[in-house]
Amino acid sequence: MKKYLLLAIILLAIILRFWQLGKNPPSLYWDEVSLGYNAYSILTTAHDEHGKFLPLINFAAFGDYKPPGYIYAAVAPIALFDLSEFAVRFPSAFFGVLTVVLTYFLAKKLFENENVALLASLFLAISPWHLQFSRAAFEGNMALFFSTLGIYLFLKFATDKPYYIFLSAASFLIALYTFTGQRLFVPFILLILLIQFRKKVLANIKLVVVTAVASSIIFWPLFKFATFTIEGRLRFNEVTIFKDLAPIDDSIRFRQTDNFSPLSNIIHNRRFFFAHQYLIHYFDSFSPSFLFSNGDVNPRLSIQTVGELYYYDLILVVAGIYFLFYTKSKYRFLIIGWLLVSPLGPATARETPHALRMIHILPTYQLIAAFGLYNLYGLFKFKKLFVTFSFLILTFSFLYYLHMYYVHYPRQYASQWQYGYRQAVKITKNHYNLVDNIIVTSQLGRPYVYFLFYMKYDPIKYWNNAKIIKDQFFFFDVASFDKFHFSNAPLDEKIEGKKLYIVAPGQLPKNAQDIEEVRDPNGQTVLEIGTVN
Amino acid sequence: MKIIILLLIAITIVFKQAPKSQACDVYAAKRAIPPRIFYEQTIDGNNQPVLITRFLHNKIGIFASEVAKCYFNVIAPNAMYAGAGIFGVIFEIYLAYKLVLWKKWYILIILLLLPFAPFFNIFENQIYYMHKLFALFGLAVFAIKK
Repeated sequence: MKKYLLLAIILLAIILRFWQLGKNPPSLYWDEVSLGYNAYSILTTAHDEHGKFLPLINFAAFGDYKPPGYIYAAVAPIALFDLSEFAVRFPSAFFGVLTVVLTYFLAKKLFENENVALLASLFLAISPWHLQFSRAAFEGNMALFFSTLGIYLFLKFATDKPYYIFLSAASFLIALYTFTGQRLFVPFILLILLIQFRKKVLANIKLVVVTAVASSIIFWPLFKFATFTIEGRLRFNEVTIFKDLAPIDDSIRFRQTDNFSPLSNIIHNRRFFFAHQYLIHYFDSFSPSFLFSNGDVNPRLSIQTVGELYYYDLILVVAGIYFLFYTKSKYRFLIIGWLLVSPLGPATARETPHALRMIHILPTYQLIAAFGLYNLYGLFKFKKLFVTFSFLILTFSFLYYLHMYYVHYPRQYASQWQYGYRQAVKITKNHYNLVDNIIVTSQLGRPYVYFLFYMKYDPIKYWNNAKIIKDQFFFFDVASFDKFHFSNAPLDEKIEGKKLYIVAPGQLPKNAQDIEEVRDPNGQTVLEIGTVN
Repeated sequence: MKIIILLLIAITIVFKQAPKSQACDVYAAKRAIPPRIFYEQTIDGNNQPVLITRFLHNKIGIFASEVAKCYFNVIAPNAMYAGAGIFGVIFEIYLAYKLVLWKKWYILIILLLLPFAPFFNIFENQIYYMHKLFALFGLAVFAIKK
């Protein structure tokens, strides 16, 4: 019976992750397109979009130096399903389903209880947090599978056979080479695992040291890039709170008020101001509004109308934490430790709470909620009533989420997913042979990659005729390739011959002909297209 | 020595400068209903049965979600931190944990209901002092236990 229940949960996870995968979210975001085109480039030429042969440490892409894991994972789906939205998002959805299955085995190992394991995997299967990231090409979602697998295999090392430590290390390394956020999670979770299983680690110290040395050698090129190069540090420096000047200004102002006395230098030390900022960002991660009410403020990372967890989870998570301590659960330190260290890295960034950067906190909430529900069930006298109540409230929450995700979300937030490029490229294809130049507005962001993607433009031709500029933040800006010219002010471009303009509403030249509009699902015009002789 | 440390912690909790609380009350919640209900029901459109639309997007549901937002603003770890500092957060959680452990449900219910007060414009500016108070209770419980 329980086997069938697990199969039903997996089937549910597959349907929720793969149904309309290419259609909702309503369009590909520029990072997704970049991942897809780089994978296509690897498939057809064994080089990335900039012509580098099989990159192992990173893909330069927009100058954001994407880790390679997801791009290589997308190669096979693109070979199978062609260069499409579905193929680009396939690895994320696929590893999303695998994470649901893995959660079952992890929970079974942690709680030694089949019911808790089934509940935990069910909760992850229907989790708004996990679904959001499983239905778009997010590297973080694929990395989540590997970091969770690393934790599971470490548990197997501690409880079954020592050689699992190699597989655990390999999983963590893949996670590190898949998502940048993992670089500030893996060290902390390893520390928690080492403390939890210190006796087992000490008993197999030689094996552990050999694994650590081998892993360090494999990790070294990535560490070197992230730490010692300008490009590697760029992204961190761009988002971190530790580059803010406000805490330093505050520190100076406070010390000035005290005439820079020695005591004031200690009390109003800038490090305290930074620590204060860091704590605010850390506690943000546990904001109930973020968790249960609105979710992440970025509409690409949450649907805004439902929290990262359901309201009912609030009761279950609180109960779960209580029962973890009350029942003196064997692995309570690991679970609570995992929960508490997950935001340590993301808290160094300005934008908090950030659902993507701390996605590795999953599936702790689901594990805890499942344990909470199971123990609450044991506590209640009227068990049937409790089960009915829980079932109804969870079903309603879930159906409400689905309604908001499939009916409201694509209409309200299409612009957040750069909606309009696909349609624009389709129209452009009809005009391509009839015009000399195509001038595209850059206002929607990074248009060049959409034209490469949807036209399946030959990467070799692209390397040879692209005009790429490196801006002051080291990002790559493509000014032109082939007939295409990209500009923030398309009308100012001095280009001869017959032209096709793809511009923001109201920006077409007055003498434009064959005018067409691209409208978003809400009926708003996002792009206007017209030709000028 | 222990007493001195506890006293120092108590001082950091008491003298933590509290910010002004944000306006989030019953009036704000009521004001949020008409635009949200209009917008959400418009998106659902005419193709969907009216009963489903009204079931999913109704005044009670929207009002409840606004109440939850206000409540969460008060009980958020950052609100505790803003009111009572890092030690305040630790000892407030410690107090809640001990109350559950000792099964002091009545006190716990009061503790959980009090954050609703600012929603009804009661103690709206004193909410951060409430965190200080609970943190000091937690510290006292800890001191007695140890």
